[in-house]
Amino acid sequence: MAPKTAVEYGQKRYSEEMLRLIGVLDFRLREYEYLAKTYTVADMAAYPWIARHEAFGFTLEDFVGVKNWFNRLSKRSAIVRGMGVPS
Amino acid sequence: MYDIYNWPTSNGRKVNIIVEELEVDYKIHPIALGNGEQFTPEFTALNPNQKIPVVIDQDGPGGKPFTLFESGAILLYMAEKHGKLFPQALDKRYEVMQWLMFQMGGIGPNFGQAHHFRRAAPERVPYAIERYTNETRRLWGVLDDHLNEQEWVAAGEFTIADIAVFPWIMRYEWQGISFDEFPNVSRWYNAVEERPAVQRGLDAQKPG
Repeated sequence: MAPKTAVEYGQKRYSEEMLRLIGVLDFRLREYEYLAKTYTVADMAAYPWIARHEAFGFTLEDFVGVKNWFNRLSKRSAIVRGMGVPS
Repeated sequence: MYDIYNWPTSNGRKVNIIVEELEVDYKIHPIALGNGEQFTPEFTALNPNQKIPVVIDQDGPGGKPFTLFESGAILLYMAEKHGKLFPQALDKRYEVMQWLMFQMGGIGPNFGQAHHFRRAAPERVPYAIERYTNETRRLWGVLDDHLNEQEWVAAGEFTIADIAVFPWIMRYEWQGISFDEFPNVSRWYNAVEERPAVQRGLDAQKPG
C-alpha cells in the first residue's frame, strides 16, 4: 500500500536516524583513516551506502571524516571497477 | 571476566544468554534505557552509537581489556574465543554467519520498527504499521519455511544464529503474531526456550 500523502512522521524519524548514524561514522573516521583502522570489508560494506548520499539527501560537506574517507576510497581502482563507474 | 553493559532488550538478552551457554565469568552493569543511561559520556566512550549491549573482555587479546559493541559481533567474538556455538568447518561456519546476518540486518531492524509503530510511536502511522508488520510476517515465513527443513537455524546444531533470533521471536505478541500460524518456528522456539542456560540468561535481567 503506497501512502497517499508523504508520511511526515516516518520521514522525520528516518532522516534524523540517518544523520545520527553518519555522525557516528564521522566520529570514528575523524580519528581513524578506515573504520577498523586499516582498510577492510567494513569499509567496503559502508561505502556503497555513503555513495548514494544525493539520493538519500545528505551532504558529505557536513561530515569531514566521512568525506575524506569517501574520497580516499573512491580512488581505489577496485572500488571504481566494483561500482561500475568508468575510470 | 566479562563486564557486560546491558538492558533486557532483544539484542541485550542475546549476550545474557551466551555467557550462560559458555559458562564464563561475567558481571552485568545495567544501563537503564528508560533513564537515558546510554547517553552518558562514560557509556558513549564505550559505544559512540549509544546502544546496548557493550562488553569489555578483561582478558582480551594481548592480555588487555577489549571493548566490543554490536550484539552480533559480541556473539561471534565469544563463540570464537571459547570454541563453542560456531562450527569450525568453513561451510557450516558461513551458514551460521549467513543466518546471523539475516537476523542482524533483517529481523532486528524490521521487527524493531514494527514494535515502534505498533506500540511506542506517539502517533498512529498506518502506512508504517502495515509496512513493518507485513515485513515482519514475511520474515517469520522465511524462518518457518527454513525450520521445516532444519532442526536449528543453521548448520544442523544449536549455534549463535539461534541465540540471535530467539529473543526477537520472543516478542511475537508485540508483532501481532500467533505461533499457531508458524508451527516450525513454534517447535524450534520451544526447544531453545527449554535450554537451562537460556532460562538463566533470561532471568539475569528481566524487562520492566
